[in-house]
Amino acid sequence: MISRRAFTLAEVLVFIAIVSIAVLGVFSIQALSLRYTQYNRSRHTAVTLLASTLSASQCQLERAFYADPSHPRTPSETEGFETAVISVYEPDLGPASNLRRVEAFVYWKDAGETQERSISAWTYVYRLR
Amino acid sequence: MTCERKRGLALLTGVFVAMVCYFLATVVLAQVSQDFGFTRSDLDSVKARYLAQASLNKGLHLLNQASGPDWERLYTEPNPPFREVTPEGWFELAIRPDIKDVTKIHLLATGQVGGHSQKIQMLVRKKPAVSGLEYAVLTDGPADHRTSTIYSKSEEQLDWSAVSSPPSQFVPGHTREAAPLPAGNTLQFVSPEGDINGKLFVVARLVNLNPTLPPTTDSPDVLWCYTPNEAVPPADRWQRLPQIDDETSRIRDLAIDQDANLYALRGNKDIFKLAVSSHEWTRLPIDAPALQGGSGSLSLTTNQEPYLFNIAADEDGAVFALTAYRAAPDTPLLTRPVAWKDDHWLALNPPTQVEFIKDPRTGKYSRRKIRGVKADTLRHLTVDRRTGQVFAEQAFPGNPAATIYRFTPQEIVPDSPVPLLKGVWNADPLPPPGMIYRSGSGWTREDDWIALAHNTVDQASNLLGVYHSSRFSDTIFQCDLTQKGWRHLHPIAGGSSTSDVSALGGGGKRIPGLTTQYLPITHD
Repeated sequence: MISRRAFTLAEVLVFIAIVSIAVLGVFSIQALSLRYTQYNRSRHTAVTLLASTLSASQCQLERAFYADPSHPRTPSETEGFETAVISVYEPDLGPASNLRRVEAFVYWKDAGETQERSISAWTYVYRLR
Repeated sequence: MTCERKRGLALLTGVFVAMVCYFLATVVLAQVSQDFGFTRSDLDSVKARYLAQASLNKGLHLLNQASGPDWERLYTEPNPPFREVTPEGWFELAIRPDIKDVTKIHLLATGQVGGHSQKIQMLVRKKPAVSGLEYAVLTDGPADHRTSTIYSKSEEQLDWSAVSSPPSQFVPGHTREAAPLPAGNTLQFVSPEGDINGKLFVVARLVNLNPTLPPTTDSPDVLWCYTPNEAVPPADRWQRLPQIDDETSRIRDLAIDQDANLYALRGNKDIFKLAVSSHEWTRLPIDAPALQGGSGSLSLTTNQEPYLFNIAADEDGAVFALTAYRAAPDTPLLTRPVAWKDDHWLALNPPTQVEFIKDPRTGKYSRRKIRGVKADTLRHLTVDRRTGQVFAEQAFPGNPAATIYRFTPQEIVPDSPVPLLKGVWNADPLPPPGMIYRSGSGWTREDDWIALAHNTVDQASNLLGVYHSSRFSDTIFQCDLTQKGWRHLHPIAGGSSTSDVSALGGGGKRIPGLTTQYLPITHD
């Protein structure tokens, strides 16, 4: 005789629990990955912006078309990002020196986050005479 | 039995689903982690590149501070640690065996950040200090008495002074012997160019001012050289250069390299070189694919062959030229910058086109990158012989604000379809000058950018340009490429209120003492 006993409630609940945990885990990781993907995308944009900002400042200083390329935080052409450039003389060389330290910063906030992120890089620029 | 089997199957299914989910999650996390690693790597790479640049510039600074040829002590220069990473940067000195005198030095710097290293090379040179000389040809007077006069001024002078004109001679066709000017004719001076010693080279062209007389069509252009030696009578300061050959095609442009070799563009296909050593003309070979700027896929017919219309030379004897051609009949004219270097033609990578658009409400200009071909017409190519940088202007239909590009050569890519001289075109620092002209009531400034009519760069890296005015005298602008922005020069005294600057030239004059300047050559 063939037994036709159905699944017990406990068995069904255990099955649903296992599958739910797995699916919820995937969803939460998916959400996390979306967040980090967004973060990586923003960071990649910021790195590109950092390189172009530093390059532009370097170009300005080498050719000295502008007296001082230092500028406070200003919105960039890329929405949601701000750039800043600090240009200082090396203290041991003095303002008459042709060597200047230039540091560029990029600031941004990821969507849904309150914490501001920033990256920076620096170089020395030698002014042509 | 079957019931137990179903239960077991359901359990296995649940575990399988869970494992699939776990696998998916692992893949997603790995991907995110990898992306994160890439962006971090990007940042480290950028930091390393600029760290290497910093080391080079610090090295250059120390090199300039050094007195005498004691280069060895500049061998290593560590950089201070920087925030969360500990970068290292240094430069090393390498003297190339093919450079005979120690006026050029290769510097190599490596920057390391977070396991990433970037190398940058720099060529440093010691060069003589040069005062820039500017030359302008002013054409003035009524139509039947128009005269062409050469003026010059040094970088320090405010006012222009007239240079004595070449003897009033012409060379009748095929004679190669000078003869007095025929009645009703005058000489027009074209393409003045100065060399580093202050000598002036100019093309003298016979022009018939009297329409009732038959034009003299078989007279070739004559090249003259002026040596500014005060001890020599003015008439003897001019020396006629040898004729290229018996052809009578017009000489369109002249160029001089740092060694005072003279290049002449005759007609629209022939470039000749007058070597300073042999004093003989040689013709540069023409390579049609290269003159198309590497657009080798075009099938050219005879009337589509590229032609040359502008040349300039740099310190190392490279001749830069602009070529123009059509991809097919009735298609827009295309221009390409090319270079003749080390006995080969090289195509320059074309610039990313940038147009400056004036906002009619605010009067401000904004830059806009052009995608696709809107107006592919470069013109007024000139070279800063000190740095090897190339300048060219691009005009856009209906827009008076032309764009001036600056090209910094970086490396030769021999494996392209046509060998490529790769470099960076920059349109940012050099917008055109603002419109200003001299009228009877003084200088008048208008809030408009303008296109230049001619331009040149002198030996002191001053970029000169002319704004043509239909009502007033032309205005000459100067842009010091190392220090300042654009400014207008004094008008040429002696010209009338509508005198026309028909050509500009740049030269230089050595002054005692040495200065050091650097020329970056590659960026990894």
